[in-house]
Amino acid sequence: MTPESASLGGRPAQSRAPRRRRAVRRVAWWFLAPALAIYVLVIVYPMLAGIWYAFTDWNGLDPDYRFVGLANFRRLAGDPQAVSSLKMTFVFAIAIALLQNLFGLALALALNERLRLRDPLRLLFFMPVVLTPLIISFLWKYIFSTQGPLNTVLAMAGLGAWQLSWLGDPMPAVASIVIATLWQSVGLAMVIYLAGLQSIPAELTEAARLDGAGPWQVLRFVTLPMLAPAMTVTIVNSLITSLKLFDQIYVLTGGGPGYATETMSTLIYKTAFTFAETGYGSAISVVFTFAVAAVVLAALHVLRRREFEHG
Amino acid sequence: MTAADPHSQARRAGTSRRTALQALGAGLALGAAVWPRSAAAQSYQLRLAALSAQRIPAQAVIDRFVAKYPGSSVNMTAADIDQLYTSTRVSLAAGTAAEVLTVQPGNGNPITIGQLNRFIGDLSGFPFAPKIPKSLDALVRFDGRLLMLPIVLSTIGGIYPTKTFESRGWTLPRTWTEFLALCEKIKASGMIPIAAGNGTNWVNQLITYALLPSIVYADNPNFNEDRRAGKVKFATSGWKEALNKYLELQKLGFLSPNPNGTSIDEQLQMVASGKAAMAIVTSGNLANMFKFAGHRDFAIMPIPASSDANKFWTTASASTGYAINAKAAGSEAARAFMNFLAEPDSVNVFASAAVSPTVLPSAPNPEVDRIFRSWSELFRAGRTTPYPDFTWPNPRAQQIHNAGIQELLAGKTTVDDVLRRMDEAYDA
Amino acid sequence: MARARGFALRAALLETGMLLTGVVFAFPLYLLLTLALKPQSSWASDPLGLPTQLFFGNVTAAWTQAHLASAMLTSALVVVASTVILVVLGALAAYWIARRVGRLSYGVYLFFIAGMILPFQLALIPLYSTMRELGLLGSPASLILFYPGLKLPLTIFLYAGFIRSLSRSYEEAASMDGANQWQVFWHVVLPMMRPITGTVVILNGVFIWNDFLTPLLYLSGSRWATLPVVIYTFVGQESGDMGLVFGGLLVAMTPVLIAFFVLQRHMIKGFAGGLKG
Repeated sequence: MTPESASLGGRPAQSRAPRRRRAVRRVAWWFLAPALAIYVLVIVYPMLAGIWYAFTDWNGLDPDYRFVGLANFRRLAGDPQAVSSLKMTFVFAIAIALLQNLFGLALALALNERLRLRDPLRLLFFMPVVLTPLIISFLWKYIFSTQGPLNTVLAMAGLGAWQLSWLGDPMPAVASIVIATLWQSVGLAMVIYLAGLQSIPAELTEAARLDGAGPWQVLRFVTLPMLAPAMTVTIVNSLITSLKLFDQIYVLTGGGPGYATETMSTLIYKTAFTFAETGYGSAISVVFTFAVAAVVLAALHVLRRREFEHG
Repeated sequence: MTAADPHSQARRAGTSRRTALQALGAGLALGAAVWPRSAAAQSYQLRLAALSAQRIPAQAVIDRFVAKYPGSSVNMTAADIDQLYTSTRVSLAAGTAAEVLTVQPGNGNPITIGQLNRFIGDLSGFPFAPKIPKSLDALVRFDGRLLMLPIVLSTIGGIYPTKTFESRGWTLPRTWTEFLALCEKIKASGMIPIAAGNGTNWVNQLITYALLPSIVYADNPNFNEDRRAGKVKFATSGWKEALNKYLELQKLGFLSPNPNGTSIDEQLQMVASGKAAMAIVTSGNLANMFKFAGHRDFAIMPIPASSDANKFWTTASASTGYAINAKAAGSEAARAFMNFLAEPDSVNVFASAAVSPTVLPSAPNPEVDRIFRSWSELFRAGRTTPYPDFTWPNPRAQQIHNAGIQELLAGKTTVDDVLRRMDEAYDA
Repeated sequence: MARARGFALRAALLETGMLLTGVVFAFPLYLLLTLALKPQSSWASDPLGLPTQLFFGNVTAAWTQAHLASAMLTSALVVVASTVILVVLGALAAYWIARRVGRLSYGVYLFFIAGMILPFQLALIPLYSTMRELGLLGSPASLILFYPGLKLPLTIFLYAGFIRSLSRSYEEAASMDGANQWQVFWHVVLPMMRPITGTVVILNGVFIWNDFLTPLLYLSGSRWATLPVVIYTFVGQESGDMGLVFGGLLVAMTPVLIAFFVLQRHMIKGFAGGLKG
C-alpha cells in the first residue's frame, strides 16, 4: 500500500495494522491549526464564496449586487463561446496528457538502454520542466510567427508546403500550444517513467526474454504492467495541470484566432477581470470545477483499476 | 532587575538623551515647514500609465516636466491597449493604479471613462477645462463630469509611403471602386496592397471602423443615438455592408497572407520595408512607422467605402487622453502634471512627437498638416464621426466584433452571426 | 554472432535517433541564446547561425530598462518566505494527520487533498476581493499569504506520506525521555524528514518562482513585480524591438538555468520522487 495510492482513494495504513495495546498518540491541535487556518482562508472560503457569487450579478467592485438565481448558468448554456471553451479545455487536456505520457514513456524507454549520451540527454529533456512557462511562451511565440524560425527552417529543409500560420489559423494554433506545452512537460513524464523502469527487477525482463519473448512482448506484458502506478500518477498529474493551462494560451494566442483556443481558464480571467462580470465568471468557474473533478475522478477510477489488475 | 541595576540606569540616561534629540528633531521639522520655500524647489513624484503608441510623445512631455521641476520623477509604464484593458481595471480595483491614467472616450471598452467612471476624478475645476472644444463634450464628459483630458486627435486610415505612391503615379481614391482599382494596381506591381495585423486583438476592428463612416454615418449621423434607442440594430444596418466589404478585400487577395497570425508590429514593418503599400491602422501608429522605416515620408489616407464621392466620410476622434485616478485627485503631483500636460507648449511637443493634429490650441505644425492633408479636407467639411464604439453601453460588443473578425477571416462564421451576437451583447 | 551485430546496429540507430531528437529538442534554447547574443540587424541575414562575436548590447539594455534586478529580488523574497511557511506549517499539519489515529485525521487529510484536484479558478475572484479588503493588494504580502494556502495540499500530501513510513520508535524514545510534543517534532522528526523537505522545497520553489497570473493580478500597477510579470510588461512595451525582448528573456531565464545546473540531481529527484510519493 503505497502512500500516494493511499491518498488517491485507498484506506489509511493504520487501520490495517493489527490492534496493539499502546498509548493513543494524541497530537496537539495547534500542530494542525495554522495550516488549516490559512488553507480555509485562502482556498476553502473563497471557493465557497465563488459558488455563491455564481448566483449573483456582481461586477467585482460595487458593494451591491443582486441575486439572480440560475440566470448566469442559463446564459452559459446558450453562450457559444463558453461552450466552445469547455470543449477546448478538454481537447487540450487530453491531447497534452496523452502525448506527454506517450513521448515521455518513449524517451524513458530509449534512455533506459545503455546509451553513451544518456545523462546529458536526460538533463536536456528535463530542463524545460523547470523553466518559467511565461518566458518560454514568448520564445515560442517568436518561433511560431509567420516569418519566424520554424517557417524559415521548413523552407530551408525544402518543406515549404508545411509552412503554416502557426498562430493565426485555428488548427495550427491548437497544435502550436500543444507543442509549446509538451516541450516543457514531456521531460517530467520521462524522469518519472525512468525511475519506474529502473525499479523493475531485471530478473523479470530476463526471465521473459529467456522464455522467447521479443522486445514488444516484454514491453506489453512485463514493463507496462509494472509501470502502472507511475502511469496513474503522471497521467492524473498531467490532466490536472493541463486542465488549468493558462500562461501558454494567454501569450501565444490570447484565446484566438476568434475563440479557437479559448479555454475555461482564459475565459474566466477575461470575463472576471477584463469585463468585470464576476458573477458570470464565477458561474463559469463552478461548471469548470465540476468538469475537472469529473474528469480527474474518472481517470483515477480507470487507472487505479488497471493498477489493481496488473499490480 | 532592580532600580539600582546598571542597565536600567543607562537606559534612563539614554531615555533623556533620546528625548532631547526628539525635541531637536521636532524643532527642525517645524522650522523647515514654516520656512518659506521657493517655487522652483517643488518636486513631484508620480506614476503614469501610458499607451505604448504614445510612449514617445509622453516621454517628451515628461522630460520637459522634470526639467521644469527638478528632482521630480514621473514613472511611466507603457502597455499595448489589450494589456491596458485588464491592468487598468485590476489596478484601480486593487487601489494600486498610477496617479495619471490613459483613458478613452465613451463607454464601449474597458478603459473608457464611462466604464471607469467612479474611479477617475472630475477635471472640471482644472484651468484647462474651458479650453476643450464643446464639440467634444460627448466624448470627454460622462454623467456631467469632465473625466478626460484629450491632447491629440486621431483617425483610422491607410498609412502609406508618399514617395512610393508618387513615383508609381498612384492617386488617392474617393470611392470604393477607385479604392479597389488602386489595390488592383498595387497588386499588379508586385506589392501587397494592404498589410493586415489581425493577430493583435484590437487591430481587427480598424478596417470596419475605417469603412463605416461612409456607409453608415454619411446617411445617418445620428446612428449611435438610434442604436441606443433601439431604432436600428447592427444586423440590419450598414454594418453588414461594411463587414462584407472587409471580407471582400480578403477575397480579392488585397490583404496580406495569414492576417490572423500577423501582429501589428509585423504589419507596420511590412509597409516600412516596402513589402506592402499601406496599413489601415490608427494614426497614433505613425511614430512607430517612422521608427521602423527610418524615414518620415508617410501620410494617412481615409478609406472611401461608398460609390458616391460625396458620401466619403471618415473618423475623427479624441481617441486617447489622460485622466486622474480618483484616489489621487487631491495629489499635487497629479494636478501639476495634468496642468502641465495641457499647456500649449506641452501640447505642441506631444503632438509633434505623436505626429497628430491637436485638440487643444497649439502652434501650427507643417509636418502634421502634410501627413493629414486628405483627412483635413474631410474634417473641415464636417464629414467625420468619432469611433463607432464610444457610445456602446458595455465592452462586450467590441470584444465580439474583434474576435468575430478573426473568425470571419478564418472562414469560421458568417457576417450575420457576428452582427447578431453583437446586437445581443449590446442589448444585454 | 549475427544477433550481436544486429544488437550493435540497433544500439547505434537508437543512439543516433536520440541524438537527433536531442538536437531538435534543444532548438528553442539554442535560438534564445544565439538570437539574444546577436544584434537584431543581423537576424534577417543569418537567422540560425551562431554569433560571429558575442554581442551583449541586448542583454545589458534589457537589464537596465526592464528593472530585472528588483523583480528577481521580489520573486526571491516571495519564494523564500512562502517556502519557509509551507515547510513549517505543512510538516506540522502532516505530523498531526499521520500520527493521529482515527477517522478525523483521515477526513482532514482528504479535506486537504481535495485542494490539489479542484482548480483554483473558482476561488480566484473571491480571494482577490478578500485580499483587497485586507488591504494586501499591491504588496508581496498578498502572495506570501496566497502560496502557502495554495500549496499546502501538495506539501501535506508529501509530508504525510513520508511520516507514515517512519518508524515511531525514535519519537517514542524521545517522548519517554521527557520531551514534549513540540520538542519531539522539532528535534527528532523534522531532521529525519530532510529528504522529503528537499522535494517540498524544490517543487514549491520552482512553482512559485514561475507563477504568472496571481502576481499579475495582485501586484498590477504597484511598484512591486515578480520576474514573470516584469517580463510580460517588458515584452508588451518593447514588442517592436525583438533584440531587446530576447535580451530580457535570456536574462530572466538565467537564475533558473543556473539553479538547474547546480541542483539538477536534486531537482530531478525532487520532481520524480515527489510525484511518485
